[in-house]
Amino acid sequence: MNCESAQLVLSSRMDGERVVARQAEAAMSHAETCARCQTFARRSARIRSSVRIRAAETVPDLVEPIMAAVARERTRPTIAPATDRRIAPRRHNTWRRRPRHRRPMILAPGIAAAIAGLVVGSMVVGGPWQRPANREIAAATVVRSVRSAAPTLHAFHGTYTIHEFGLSDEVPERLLEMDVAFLSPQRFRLEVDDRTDYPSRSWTRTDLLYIEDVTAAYVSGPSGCPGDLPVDVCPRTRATVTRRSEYSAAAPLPADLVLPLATFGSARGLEVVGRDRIDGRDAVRLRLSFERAAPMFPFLRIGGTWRPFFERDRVLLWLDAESWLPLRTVVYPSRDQERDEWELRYGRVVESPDEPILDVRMVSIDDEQPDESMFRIPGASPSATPRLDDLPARIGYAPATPGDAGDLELVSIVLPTASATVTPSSLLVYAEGLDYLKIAERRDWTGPGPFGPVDSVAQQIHLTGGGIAYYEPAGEGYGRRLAVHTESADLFLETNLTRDRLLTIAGSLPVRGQPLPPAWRHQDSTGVDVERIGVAEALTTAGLPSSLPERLPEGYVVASAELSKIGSAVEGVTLYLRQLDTDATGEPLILHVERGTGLPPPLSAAERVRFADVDGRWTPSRSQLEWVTADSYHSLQGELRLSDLVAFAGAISGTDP
Amino acid sequence: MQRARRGDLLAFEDLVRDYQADAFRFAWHLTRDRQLAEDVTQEAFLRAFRFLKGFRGDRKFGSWLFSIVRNCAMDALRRQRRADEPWDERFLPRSVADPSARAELEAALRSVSTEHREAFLLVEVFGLSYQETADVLGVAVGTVKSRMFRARQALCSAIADEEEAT
Repeated sequence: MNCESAQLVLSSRMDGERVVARQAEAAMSHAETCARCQTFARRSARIRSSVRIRAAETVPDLVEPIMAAVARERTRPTIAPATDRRIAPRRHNTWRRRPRHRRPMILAPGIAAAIAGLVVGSMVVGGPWQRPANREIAAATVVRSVRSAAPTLHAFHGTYTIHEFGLSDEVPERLLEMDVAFLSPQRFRLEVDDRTDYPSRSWTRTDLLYIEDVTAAYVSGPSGCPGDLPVDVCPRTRATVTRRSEYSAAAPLPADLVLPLATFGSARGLEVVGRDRIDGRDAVRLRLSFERAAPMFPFLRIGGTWRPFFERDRVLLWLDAESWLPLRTVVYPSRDQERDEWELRYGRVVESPDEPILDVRMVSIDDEQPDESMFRIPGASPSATPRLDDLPARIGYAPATPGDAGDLELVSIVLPTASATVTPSSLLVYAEGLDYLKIAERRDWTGPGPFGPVDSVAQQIHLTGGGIAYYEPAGEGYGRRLAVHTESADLFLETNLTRDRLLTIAGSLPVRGQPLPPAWRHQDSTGVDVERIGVAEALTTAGLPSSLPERLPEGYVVASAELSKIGSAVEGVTLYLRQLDTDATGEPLILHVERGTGLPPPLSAAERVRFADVDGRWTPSRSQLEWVTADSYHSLQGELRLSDLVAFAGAISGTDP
Repeated sequence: MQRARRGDLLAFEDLVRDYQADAFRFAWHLTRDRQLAEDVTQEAFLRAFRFLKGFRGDRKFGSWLFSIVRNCAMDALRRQRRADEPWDERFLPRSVADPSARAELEAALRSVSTEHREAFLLVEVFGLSYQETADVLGVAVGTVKSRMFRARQALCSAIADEEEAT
């Protein structure tokens, strides 16, 4: 253990935080012989004793003025706590109209005709929907239908209104207009025009422009709030920030506004509520969490000022039953108790679960396809796409191309100027409608992990051609991802296709993937050596049944495992459980098992939980469930509800909860 | 606490008595201005009173109050635009036995970044746990852990090691 690690442990221990016993011992034995660490410990103790003597005499007595203010507050009827749910009354129709210079568009109910003309292919897809009979609708059917509509959509241009409520006391309601366009292959444009009547000129309008041209992107708009400051605290006057990037590995940002492909990566967490008529269209109404629906609100991520949302806020979504385009999306505050705590943490007013806080509505669709000039990135010089045959002469190798790309066509070849070590030297983009697949390649990749945004704990997959690849489900702004390591090249694939299609295409590449080099499988973290190992070996080491992977709730797999060692002694085993297609939170569930006969002292407020025949502990602030069986300590952590974690714990300990 | 949540003013007054000193000190650290700190403390208690019914009691009242104080202080600073004024010496504890030790600590604290100082104050001066500090600052527990460590490293290297000589 080095000084840095030892001092980190000493510092945590001084503050009474839990440290793994072995790490504590290692730090203490290091410090015994290290003059630097001894000085650190001695001076830290001295600082503590100096600081903790308090200056009580300098604190004023504020009881009188505070209580007087509180008493005045109580007599004001509008701010009676919690009974009046919304402090400021809503205003309507007070928007200041600003002149617009855009060509006219078809207004609702013209949407009906426009959609029918726009998405011809989806009529086949929407089979069961053509007659609005009262048949039961399964979420899986919606997912399949949305997926099938993707390759049929080649152009789209529509406008929306965004109503936002509760930004702050001064601005309780905002109206923004949004213009969204898509043109195959892989060109997107999103423009937000803020129509709000602000109380003063010091407020900066959230006017945004975002353009994506295959892999290049352009964004212009006021900067976001610095750090994690609440909206109320953030300065209102902002500078306009313009960014351009030639290459991005992320999924197309506004795609889900056109068709919710990333949102509907799987049927998990989607609930079909019923049918409605929206603007004369037959619509399917669905319910899902805000976190799950996040890709449908790309404007929140681009820039400007927006109110915060709680991850479990409820989203109601109306999809056109024929084209699967989203017609309306409304967000309501969650009824979850944890939301109250979240409101308090942000110092926000209590919000009624019955009042919408965001309402995005399609108002028109242009019946002409958008002009190519809309997708030109300002300031970028147009460059000719190189030909595949010319690449060996230009970059020294012929990039790997799939033998079976299905309906996808090669639409673009990008040779990014390698500005960063993680930039590929060649990038092939395949597309059909909204479907896309990117294949990035780099020849001189030296690790120490898979090439591209694929975690070192990603799931190891055996491809049909016999090679090995590392798979990561969709999430965190990326589509489904695959990293392939070979002796001569490292490949990174990213797509919005299904997992099966991705693996089939990857299997048809003329390369044979190999396991990651041993050096990439180890990492050293404050004296603990962490090694990536096989799942079967991890289950045996942790004393878990080999049948565990089959017993997990449907859709989950044990994606990968790590062994932690201090010296040669095994400290514990960590398993990463993931959903195959999409992680609602983008984060895996983490199961850690180590030898132990009791629970360590709690780190924050915790409650006892009993499931099957096991006594466990639930720590809500960490989303952590801990329990002990025989001589093993288990910790299961992940952003799920307690009931879901208990279901996993039951499967893991071999009992039904 | 239960009575205060039901709107009992006497019960709320007890809470003000118990927590006003810590709330004021924290406000002082953040604003470095005595008058502003008094205003912030009052405003924070007023907001706490408004939202008290929604406070579930699964967090400590103290750390909940601190996050409100922090929000109010940011608000006040934004209005006053004093965020960049130098560190106010009056913040420092008055009753440190050795005046030279106080001066030394004063100098050392000046050298620590705001981020690190904030975490350091909450843990070391106000005795919050890492989890509570993380809640107040809205960051992960691991971030608090490393900020504490970095703050200590900076402070240790800044103070003259006079005990070495004795």
